[in-house]
Amino acid sequence: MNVLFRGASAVAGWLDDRTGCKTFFADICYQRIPGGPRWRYIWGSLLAFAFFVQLATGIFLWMSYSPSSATAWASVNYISHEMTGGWFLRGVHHYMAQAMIVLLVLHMTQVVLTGAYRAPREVNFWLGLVLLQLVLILGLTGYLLPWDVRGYRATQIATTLASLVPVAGPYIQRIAVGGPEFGHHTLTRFFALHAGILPGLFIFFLILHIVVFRRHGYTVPESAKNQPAVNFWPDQALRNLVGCLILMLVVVGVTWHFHGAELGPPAQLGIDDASARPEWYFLFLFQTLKYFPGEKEIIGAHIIPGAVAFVLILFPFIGRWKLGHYFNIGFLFAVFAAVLTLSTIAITEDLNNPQHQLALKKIEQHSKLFTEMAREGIPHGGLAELAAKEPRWQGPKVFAQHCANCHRINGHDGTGHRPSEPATAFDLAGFGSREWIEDLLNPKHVESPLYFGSWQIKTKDETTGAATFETEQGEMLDYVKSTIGDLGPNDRQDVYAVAKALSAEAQLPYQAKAEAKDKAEIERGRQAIAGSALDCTSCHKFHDQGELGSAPDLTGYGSTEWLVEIIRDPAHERFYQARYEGAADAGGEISLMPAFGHGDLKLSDQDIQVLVAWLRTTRKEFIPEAHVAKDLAAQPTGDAAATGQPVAAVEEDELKPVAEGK
Amino acid sequence: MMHAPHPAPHPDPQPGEDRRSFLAKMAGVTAGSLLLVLASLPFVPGLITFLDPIIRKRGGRSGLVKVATLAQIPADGVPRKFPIIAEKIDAWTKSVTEVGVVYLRRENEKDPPTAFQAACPHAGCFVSYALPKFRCPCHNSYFTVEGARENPESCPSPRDLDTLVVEVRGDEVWVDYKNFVAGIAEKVAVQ
Repeated sequence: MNVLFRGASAVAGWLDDRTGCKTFFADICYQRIPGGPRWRYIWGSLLAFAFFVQLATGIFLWMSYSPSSATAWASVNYISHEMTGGWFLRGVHHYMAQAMIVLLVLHMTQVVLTGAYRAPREVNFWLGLVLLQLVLILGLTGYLLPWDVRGYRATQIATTLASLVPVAGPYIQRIAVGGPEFGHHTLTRFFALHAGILPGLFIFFLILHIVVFRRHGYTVPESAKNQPAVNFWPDQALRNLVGCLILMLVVVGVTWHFHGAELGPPAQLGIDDASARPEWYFLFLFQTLKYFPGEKEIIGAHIIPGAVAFVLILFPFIGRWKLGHYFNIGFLFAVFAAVLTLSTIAITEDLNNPQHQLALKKIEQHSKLFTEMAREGIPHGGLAELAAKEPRWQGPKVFAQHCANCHRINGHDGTGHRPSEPATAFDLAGFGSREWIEDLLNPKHVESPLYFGSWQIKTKDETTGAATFETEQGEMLDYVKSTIGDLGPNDRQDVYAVAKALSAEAQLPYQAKAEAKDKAEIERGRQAIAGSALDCTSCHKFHDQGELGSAPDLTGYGSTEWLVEIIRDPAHERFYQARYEGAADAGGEISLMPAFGHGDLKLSDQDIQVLVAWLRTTRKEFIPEAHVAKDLAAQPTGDAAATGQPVAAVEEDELKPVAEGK
Repeated sequence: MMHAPHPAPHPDPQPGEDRRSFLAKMAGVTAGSLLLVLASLPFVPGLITFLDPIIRKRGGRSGLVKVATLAQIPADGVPRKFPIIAEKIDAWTKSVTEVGVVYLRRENEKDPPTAFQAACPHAGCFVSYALPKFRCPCHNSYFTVEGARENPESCPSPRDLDTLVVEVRGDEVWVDYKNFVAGIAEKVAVQ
């Protein structure tokens, strides 16, 4: 052991002779601290350590990050969800950044409270302000890099605010963004700032800060001035190190608790970013802007923050007088109080805003969806190409755009939005499923706005021009109301068998299990479709029974192929040919479904495929009876078929409705 | 690492001072080890992720790939070059692209063709075929048309050309495409 020490000592001596390193470290270790070591002196070291952690984690993140608008989100998602410990690495970097903000505030508060900003330490106070500013810009630039909707929108707001600066503003914005719009060069520029220029500047100013600090030493409280001075090493060093360890453990704990940093869904794919907010430490600025409408925005964005920063810079001068020192303390706490109040208002407003909460939930769903999609591998066309093929993503969009004029999904347009116009066609949630068909064949539900209640004939009064609506009294509606409604108890059981058999035609994945179990009943239902009192095949075709032309083909009803074809050409003899031909005789105006397979409204094959694939995953929600009754009494409205119990509740209802329907 | 220097030898150490110097030493050692821990701790999460390519083994290429039809391979023993078009996973990107090249060769209509990995076993350059042998353009390894080194003594390549498993399905030729570790005498598939 001694040999080792002696050897090390010899090497150190050799090196010291040539570099002076021993003297350098000795200078640090034997710096005298008048009044002895104190826990309150640790904040600076914690900040330096936090920055060191950011460097260490940041460089490793750099090794897996790809800054371009096509790859940024994908690479961050890959770090967070695929790479070993990637979530942890990113989490530590993310939460340590937040810890730095907290530590900066604490450090600065202490400096102001103890008067450490006053002569002769003015310059060091200013250096500290520069470091504070650098940390904020590091936070801002880092927030964009994952290229998720949040960071994207928040940063767009930030660069827009930069453009408000008189004269230079628009140039600053264009330079920061790297062009007129956010894109590849925004990321490359922000990344260079975040990982190169800003850390470089930070290190430079940190060294200055420490050098100047060492010149003036600790600001020792009055009460400690007559206590003996003690060396920095080891007593103060130990305190600093324990503090750093605690900081690291806290950040690790927080990272573990939240399982790393969040990643929103990718930007630039048209995802609603209404819930985008800046990082919590910029929320006060975000809130301030709400109070400065229109062209006054510059007051909230630049003039007030600028004025506050200016006063901060003047602190050392104001603090020359005793009263000035108290002013400074008061000012700082007033700023804190304002920041705290504004942040609280911003948070409470969002918490109490159901729309914001809904948007947040959607964002969360979207991020999960995109992470799942990305797991399958992203094609060279990028996330947009991947998303366009994804039923869960593209399906609702196509539905909302092309189908929701007339149809609904549980009362909404597929994306969760409830149009104010009433639906004029079937609600397609769970189309072809057992619940859906059972309700269609249920005299109590068949005339609800979810089914034929939506088939409205519009009649216009010649003189007043006012439109009146009346439910189209079609044959199927009449059949369900009278024929099924009048069935005897034995035949009623057939209705369920028929529903199951017909539903089996759809081959819905989520019913596969139940269908395997109910094979016998399904077979009975198949017989009943043609053979029983129900006599479906007198109008419909079902496999080799019945004829096409008068009513939709029940062969393969609700299957992918059937749905694709009806969307392409609903007037085909396989579907509603008779209705299209008879529409003119009905009197008034009937809205008929256009063909999407050709003509002006033509949808691409891929869009129809994803639409159908998605439709086949939707589930019918249970609509409480009271709701349906109310809907029937009133003119159907878009939000009538509102939320209800989950599908499971349908089963309780299963054997009752027919009897009650009488 | 820094060490608290030993206090100058005291002529007559007091028991109290002795204890104090012991405590100071302990504090020094504690602080020193803490410093070491704190200096390395921030690198741990990064290093784990950095080592991801070693920790998380993603299986090497496996499975048969359709490469050609029998009609495309002359039955006269002259090798023909075919690209391998297969699914390639590059971190988060998945694409169908050229992942390699093989030579297919058959001497008659009856026997299934032989497939050679086109990468030279020496350093991985693609060999070219110039009647009547394969030649590596990088370091001049020569292989016979059967894939054997022409002159094993002086050939830079440590082994013969690597053959691949071939399966004929109807008139389609499927190859179990693999890469092999270059520069060693043994034929080892890259995992």
